[in-house]
Amino acid sequence: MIKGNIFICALASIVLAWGCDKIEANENGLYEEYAGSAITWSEGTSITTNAGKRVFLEKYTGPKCPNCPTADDSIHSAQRQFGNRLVVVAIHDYSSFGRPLGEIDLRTEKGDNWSSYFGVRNAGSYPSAIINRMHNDNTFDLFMPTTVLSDKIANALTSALSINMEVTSTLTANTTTIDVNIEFIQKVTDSLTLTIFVMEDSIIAPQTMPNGSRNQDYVHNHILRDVVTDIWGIPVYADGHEGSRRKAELKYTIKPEWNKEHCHIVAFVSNAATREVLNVAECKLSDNSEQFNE
Amino acid sequence: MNARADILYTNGPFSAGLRFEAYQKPMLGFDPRYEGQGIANYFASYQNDKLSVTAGNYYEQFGNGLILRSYEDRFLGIDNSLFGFSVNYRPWDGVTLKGIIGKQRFYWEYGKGFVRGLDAEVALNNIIKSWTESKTRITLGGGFVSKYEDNDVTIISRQNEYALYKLALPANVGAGSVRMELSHGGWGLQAEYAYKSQDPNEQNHYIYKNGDALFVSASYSQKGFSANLQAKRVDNMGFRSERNPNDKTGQMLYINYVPSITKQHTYAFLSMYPYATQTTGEMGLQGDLMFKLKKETLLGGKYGTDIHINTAVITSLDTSTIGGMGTDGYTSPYFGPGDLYYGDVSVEIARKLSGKSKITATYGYVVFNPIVEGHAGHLHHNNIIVCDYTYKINKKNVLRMEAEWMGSDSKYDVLVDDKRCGDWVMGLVEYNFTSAFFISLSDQYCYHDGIGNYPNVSIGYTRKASRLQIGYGKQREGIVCIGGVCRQVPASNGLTFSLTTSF
Repeated sequence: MIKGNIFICALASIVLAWGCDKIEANENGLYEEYAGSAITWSEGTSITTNAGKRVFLEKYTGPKCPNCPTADDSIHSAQRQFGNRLVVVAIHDYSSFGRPLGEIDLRTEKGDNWSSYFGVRNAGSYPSAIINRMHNDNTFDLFMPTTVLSDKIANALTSALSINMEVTSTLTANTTTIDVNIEFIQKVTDSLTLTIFVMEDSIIAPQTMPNGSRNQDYVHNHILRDVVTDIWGIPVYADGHEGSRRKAELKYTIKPEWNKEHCHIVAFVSNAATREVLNVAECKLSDNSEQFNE
Repeated sequence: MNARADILYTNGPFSAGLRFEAYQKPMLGFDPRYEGQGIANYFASYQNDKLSVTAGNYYEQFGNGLILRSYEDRFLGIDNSLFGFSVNYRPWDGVTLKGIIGKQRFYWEYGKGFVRGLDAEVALNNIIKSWTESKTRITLGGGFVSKYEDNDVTIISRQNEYALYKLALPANVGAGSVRMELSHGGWGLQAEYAYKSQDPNEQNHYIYKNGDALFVSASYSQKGFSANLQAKRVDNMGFRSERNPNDKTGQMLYINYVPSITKQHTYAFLSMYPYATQTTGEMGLQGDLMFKLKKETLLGGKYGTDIHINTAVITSLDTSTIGGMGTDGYTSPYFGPGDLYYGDVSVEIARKLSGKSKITATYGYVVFNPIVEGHAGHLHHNNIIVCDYTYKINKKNVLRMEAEWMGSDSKYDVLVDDKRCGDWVMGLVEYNFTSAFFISLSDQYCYHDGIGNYPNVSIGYTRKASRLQIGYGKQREGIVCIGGVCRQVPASNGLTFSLTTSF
């Protein structure tokens, strides 16, 4: 019975030593490390060189999805055609296709929440994509991005430009200061939200290929790493009048396991009710020049 | 299609087992994340008179489950099994010590939280020699469970505010409980009190209030009579091994279980609005009375009459909000009931009419607040009458007929789309023949203020430990609850087939 006593004693030590943590409230009765200091809104500046409409394409994918590399080829081809007018993010969700094939797990809870909300998880069809979170009747306009995307992207680019956006990132050690400038070109009366996320390129991890084989050294690009704001964004503190400008500034600490050289910051403004994206901007994490080449 | 096979091997004190599960695709009403197949659970264990040790997947419960209950219910699609080690040690007669450590199953994966727990139970009559023969039996117990989950920064933005907030989250959340069980002759008293430390999570909207729960049950029984009174109060006691498990069913990764004190009705209309335990906060009472009117009396008739009366009332807590996320959330007086969630009363009278026939008549009244299922709306008041008649033709042939009526003040609203609303009638005829086969025909029809007609036919065959059942018909969208834990069942129309066997 000595074994049993030892086991019980060991468990007792573990459970009692680290049983529960108590968080003390601050003077205002709040259990927060900081409040209200993370983001500041101020008068924005005019956007000139980075003005114009861009298109936001979300691709829902996974290592166990054999058709996803075909979609990557198709998206890569579209990027060559549209340059940085096309901003792409690849989201690995918690579906069976998203399960990692090795130790590198590219899934995020926040991305999975998006996947569920837009109906990707329910439809169970991978790869799935959505442009600017647009609707088709009463559902989100999901499609399989394995064919030519030119028409869909070109159509989205021709829609009216209501806001200009630019984002910059200034990295100091592991903390970046993100600035998002928003300029209203047309009057917007709808409630808007600003969403900011981090994505990473050039991650080497296994992927199931279209012929069923496994490519151990597949290069995964545009991988969603974290959503800096709430996944549905934070309210855009602006009156929405034509010509008005607002600037949001916040700080974010990059996780050490991410390759800073390959990370990008993406910011987009969307309609708070319909989720439809009005415009999007992207910049590299490690320098403060926005990637925007005509 | 859902399928599973449990395989168990035992050799002396050693045993090992595994469960193969296949969901291709999961049946309607089961979470799509079950899709797939493979070995879902496996374990190896050693057991002797004093010690049992299990490695792998296991199920365990401390007391009533207020701080720990890992369990599995295939009909609800729940498997909260722990994967790790468990030890159960009985150093002396009447003393049981339990220890567990592991992660919880989450569909085909495991939750992020790491669960550790200890429990001790002492049966005083076994360890105090002079109490051995005492008519009064006392058992005392207590346990502690702790969950560890990485306190990744959670940044939130409050409604109508333009600032971001970063919450300081506790990585370790603990819950402890004390309990006692006392019996003296036909009398019994059982009580358990549990307390949980700060556990900000998605379900409680990231408030930092401590949780607690009290469960008390008193009973008395003697030949031909039994009475039971139960009370409980639950405040912020949802205890899950992940703060935000992204689980729409709301049932996975629960470490604890709050017992239901409402009767689990078996008749269709009485169970049409089952009550789901509200772990965020509720309080309630249940009374249950069973007695037998003696045979060969005026009221009891030739064979005697069984009467079963049950009533329950559950309310929310009377809360005063003091803040939102990142605060203590609310306060509530301990004995202050809030809004009515659920109430029911049922009277069941069962009497044998002859050596071959038996009739059971039931009247029930149910009040249901749709807020429990997340809908706004008025209280539903339902009156239900059930008549159940069984006729034993001979040893191998039995005919059973059931008629039900439900009158309700609820009306079908296309926006809410609750197809249970309205006034209903139901008929069922079931014929068991050769002790092995049965055929059942039923129809539920909403004749007023609602919509729906749900005919069903079902044929089954039972032989030894095998049962085969084929059904065809239409099923109404609804909620299925077992022990206060519920699963949404979507509307369906078609063929069902089920086969269970053991050897």
